[in-house]
Amino acid sequence: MAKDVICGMDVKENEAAGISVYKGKKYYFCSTACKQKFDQAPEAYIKSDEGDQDEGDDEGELLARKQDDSKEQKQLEPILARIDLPILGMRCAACASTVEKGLSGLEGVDKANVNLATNQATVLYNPQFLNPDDFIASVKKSGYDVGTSSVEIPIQGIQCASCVQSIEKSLLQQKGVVKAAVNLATGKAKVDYISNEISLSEIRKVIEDTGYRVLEIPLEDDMEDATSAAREREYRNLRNKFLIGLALAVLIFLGSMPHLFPWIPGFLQNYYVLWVLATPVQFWIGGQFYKGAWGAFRHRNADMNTLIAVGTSAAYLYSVVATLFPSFFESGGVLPQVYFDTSAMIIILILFGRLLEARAKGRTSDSIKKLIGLQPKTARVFRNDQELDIPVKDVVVGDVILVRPGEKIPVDGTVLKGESSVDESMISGESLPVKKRKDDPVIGATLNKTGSFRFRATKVGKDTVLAQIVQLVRDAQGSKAPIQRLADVIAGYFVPIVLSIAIITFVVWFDFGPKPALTFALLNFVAVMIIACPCALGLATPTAVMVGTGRGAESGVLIKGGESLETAHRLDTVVFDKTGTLTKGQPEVVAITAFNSFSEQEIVQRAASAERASEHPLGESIVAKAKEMDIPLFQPEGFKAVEGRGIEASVDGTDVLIGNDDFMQERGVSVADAREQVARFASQAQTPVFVALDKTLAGLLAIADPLKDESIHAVEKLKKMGLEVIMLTGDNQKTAEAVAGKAGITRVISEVLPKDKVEVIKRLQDEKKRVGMVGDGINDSPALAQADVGIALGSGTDVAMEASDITLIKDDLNGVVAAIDLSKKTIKVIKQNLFWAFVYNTAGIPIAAGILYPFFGILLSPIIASAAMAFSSVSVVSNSLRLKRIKLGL
Amino acid sequence: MLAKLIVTSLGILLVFLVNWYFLFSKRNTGKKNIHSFL
Repeated sequence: MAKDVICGMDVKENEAAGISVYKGKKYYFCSTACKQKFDQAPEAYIKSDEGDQDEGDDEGELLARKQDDSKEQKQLEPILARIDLPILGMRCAACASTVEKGLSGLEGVDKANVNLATNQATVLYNPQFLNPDDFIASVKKSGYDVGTSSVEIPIQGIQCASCVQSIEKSLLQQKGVVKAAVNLATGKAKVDYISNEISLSEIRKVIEDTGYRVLEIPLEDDMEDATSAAREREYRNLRNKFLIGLALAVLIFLGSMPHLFPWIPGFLQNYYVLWVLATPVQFWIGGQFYKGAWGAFRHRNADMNTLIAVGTSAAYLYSVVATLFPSFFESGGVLPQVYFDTSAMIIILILFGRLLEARAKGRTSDSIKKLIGLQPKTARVFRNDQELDIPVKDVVVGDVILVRPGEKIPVDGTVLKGESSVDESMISGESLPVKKRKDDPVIGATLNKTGSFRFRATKVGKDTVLAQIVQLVRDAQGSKAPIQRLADVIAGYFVPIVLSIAIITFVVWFDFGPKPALTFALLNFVAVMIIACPCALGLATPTAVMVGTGRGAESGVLIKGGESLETAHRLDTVVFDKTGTLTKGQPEVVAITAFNSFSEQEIVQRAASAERASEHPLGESIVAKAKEMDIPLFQPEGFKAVEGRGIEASVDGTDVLIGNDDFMQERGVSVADAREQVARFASQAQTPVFVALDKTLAGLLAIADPLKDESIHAVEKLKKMGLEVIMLTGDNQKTAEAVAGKAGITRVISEVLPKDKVEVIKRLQDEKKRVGMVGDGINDSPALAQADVGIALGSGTDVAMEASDITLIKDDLNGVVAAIDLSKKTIKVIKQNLFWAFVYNTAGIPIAAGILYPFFGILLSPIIASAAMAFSSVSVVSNSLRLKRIKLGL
Repeated sequence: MLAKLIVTSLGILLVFLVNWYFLFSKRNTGKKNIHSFL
């Protein structure tokens, strides 16, 4: 028996489909395709064949070799791998902590972090002990699911069962591949994979490296859509459940209150009908509470799910017994009352809160989608002396790419030929276009403005600056600590205490109560559980968050969800990006100095008239100044721009030169008189621009990016609120300090590269600070996502807004003050609400336990139960509505 | 009498178990965070 060196299949010599002789040795093949492959490049296969023979069982040996290679490193420390898993089905902070605990508990896991906002788990683990399957199993065990993507890839050249095996094996060796099944009959591979870990093009490469051709592969964008479609499905599922539940709960409510709604038909008041209506609400719609409670229980936690599950189950079971065996109650002298409405209403109200939350959360992943969308879809590449438009993902390092004016640069590279200016503001935040010449680096996704040029691709795919920003945003979103809800924290104490009281009640009634002792003990045990279930708990947080976010929106502060509101009040540090956030982001003429007896009016009129034809931001600022001063302009003639130096034109018969020092000297204009002024402007972070009329220096314009009007006020307010204010910028220390000084900011972190902004935030967080970041650019978005609360300006980029937690629509920095103030006030209201939600019920517990029975013969009556429910709900709702009228700290 | 004794002992045991399981276990994270809220 021989071995096919291509696919590894055993072939009988006499039945081989093909035989090749190479270097005096015979090779047998299972198919002509394998023979053809071998004949094309025999060396490649002989080597691996010999390797195989030497090593015997290739898989075992491969592993052994891998282990040998890394032995040295291993002795020092285990090599940790990292995996990001999308988690489905999490609805609350407790869910996140349940998943996190499950993952952390696995042997070989160094650190597991689960983020509720992005529904993502990030795990650092030792790959020798664990593989992705173990994580998926752990997540499933905790009651949740991992959102894997699935793809079917048609492959050419699958001839035999061994081909199937080798493709499957090489796919499964990849970290992000969970399942790979190749179908010999259809020639298709079905791959389940984690899209955060491995991309479709990487899967394609793995298959092609194994020696097969991938016929077509779905677009990566479609797969991104598949993930959000899965989330959308989850949301719709929740919404449908809520709507069905709401209809049922309303019917149950009406049927349970015949004294309030006398027009209700009699059959709806029947206990059996109510039971039938309440059962799906309890177990199908409310099923998630049981699931959550069980998950929490297994991790020794009691959370809101536990409270809901225990409380509503008590009410439900009590009602079922009252329906089936009313005589049991009558024997104890208690009316057989049902509480189906209580359990159904609680479930529906809480579901409503979660529905609102899910909708707000759904938008978090949009920032990534928008970032990816910044890259152009195609690139014009020179291959074999031909210009070809090819998809960006097919561009390889070394390709020469042509970019024309107005086009986006497809990937990162170095300019080979041509000159242009490029708007890099989306990446660097700098509003002025950057001049590009031969050998200058260009960044993918930036906008080419004036000229056309050719460049050589140096970084493609995952290595580009844009891809790194995407990764930074993903990482930052994944590392945000999940906030544990106040209600969950309280439930953690409330549940065991109530359970204890209920058990004690049972024992006391059983031991000392009147006959029939068991009936009384059982009834009062359940009564304690029912009354303890805080009906208004479902209203406490969502109503406050709804009214609070509504109040915020009125003041131009858009808050993404309850979590951001809950975190913002705990901030102690606010970091401002400089350009476009503290400053206007648009250059303005801030000072004019006239020379040689020219008037300011005249200088601005001539300069602005000449600059009318210019598209340069500095030119535009001069035109804007003329408009502001209400100066009529002339039509320029013979306009000529000298890139990077200045412009010249003729205005109303005068030769106008506008530009920098070099430009003036080149044209023989003496600027000696202005030296002192130039130095002064530079020290104040202002750009000096010379204006010469008929070759005589007429004036010096100082152009700067001035502070926004409200910056100083907002910074002062924040400081008054006890927050530390920091300015973050890429500018040099001197310029940065000049601007910060004007804004009243004492701490400046300058000369920070855009990609390092996120590091600065992390460092501050390591100092145990709770950091709010205010920014507007794409380069700010990783930092916005990393910060405890990211605040984006409405005038900023879409990506920044998506990556942030709060958006200020009015672009007014006072919104930062308003947001923090609103958060503080909302949290106060939530705390009060929780108090009101629990207080009536807690007060009812002793009554339910039967404390009044020895004196007045009173046991928990339905009147007390419904009064507690009504009082707490009314208190909570009216308390939340107060937020509508509050004044925010403007 | 015996029934009362059994129920009482079971009750005490259950109360102890509930509190130990939920409140006095190191793995309960609720405790760690409560100070930040209240």
